[in-house]
Amino acid sequence: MKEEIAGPTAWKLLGIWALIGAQSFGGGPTTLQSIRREMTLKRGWITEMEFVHFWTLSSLVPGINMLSFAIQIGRKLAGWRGIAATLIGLLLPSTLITVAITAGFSAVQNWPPFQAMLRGILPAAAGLMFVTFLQMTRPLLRESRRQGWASLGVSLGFIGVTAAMIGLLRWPVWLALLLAMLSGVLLVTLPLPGRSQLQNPTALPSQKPVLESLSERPSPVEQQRQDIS
Amino acid sequence: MNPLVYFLIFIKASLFSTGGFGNLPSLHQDLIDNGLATDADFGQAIAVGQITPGPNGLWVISLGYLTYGFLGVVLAFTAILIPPFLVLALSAVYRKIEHKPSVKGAMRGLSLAVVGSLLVISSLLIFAPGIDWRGWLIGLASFGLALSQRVPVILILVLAAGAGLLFL
Repeated sequence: MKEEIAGPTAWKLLGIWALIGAQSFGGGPTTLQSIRREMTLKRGWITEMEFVHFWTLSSLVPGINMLSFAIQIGRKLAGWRGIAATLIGLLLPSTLITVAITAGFSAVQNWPPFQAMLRGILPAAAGLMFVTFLQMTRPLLRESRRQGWASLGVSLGFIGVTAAMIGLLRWPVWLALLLAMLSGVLLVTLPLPGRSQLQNPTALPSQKPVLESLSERPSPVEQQRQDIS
Repeated sequence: MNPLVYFLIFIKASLFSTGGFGNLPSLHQDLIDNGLATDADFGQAIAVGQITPGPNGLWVISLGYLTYGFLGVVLAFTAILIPPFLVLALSAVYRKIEHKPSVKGAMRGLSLAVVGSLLVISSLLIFAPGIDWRGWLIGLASFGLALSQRVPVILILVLAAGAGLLFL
């Protein structure tokens, strides 16, 4: 690894990840919120923007996102030793607990108090996920806000349109992400905003409204181009 | 059964899917067709996956244990461990081209969309069948406690489990 930053030792990292892995009942939402607390809020090892970018890159590779996300954090903090410490810490306790629960599952499965506790934890995970959503939105919107209100509006539009495509229209996630990525490229590269529908060769009829609505606002495009140059 | 075939079924499912449960359809098809697992195994593994701490994808570990004992755990564990390393290659490429305007635009659009999909996960969880106004109150309370950033996450979960025990 080329840049070794003066971060924590691998052993310290192992301990932190083990705590995250062993405590995060409630699955992905809880794990993500715990990672943010430990790595960004408490210790400032991962910036808000890095947190978002790592998560975005991890959504582009196969397998469990949380693992590819954690690999990037471990690598930034302590290179290959950091990756090893991260994966062992995150996975060893939680895997052992998983095996133990599987072995004893039939015993507790129909035990009413157990069911009741589970019914309490699931909506709590939704609350945690919503907080993580707001926290991850913040650096992105702050960046947009610096470029003006129109840019902020477009960014909110991206979030809203994607959420609607996945959540309400039930489109496959990869399609929504691909459209957002292409729209993002179009917004910064198109010389004239009105041309987008002719220049995007992959646009299907049903995709046009989304791309058009995102690219027909002239000011954010100009603003972004100024920012980059 | 052949451990190599078993491992290949798991790694194939993991390589051609994303997310914690993306590998489910492929595993279900291959394991059931080969008589290596039953629907009951899948039901139990997924249920265990809802309870265990850590990433969502650990339900596969449970499936490994149910279908092939401790060897199954080791093989399933290895199969979910390998594909995420591809992110290192991706981030190496990304760092070389990240300054280009088009790449910046792509990253920005994609980041906003990925964040938007977290909103979907949150609303799917809260509008899941079986969650009524009492569940929404628990969700709202955990939202407030988490937003304050003062209460440890594990304490929020303990309180939610306690509320479930008392009211649900």
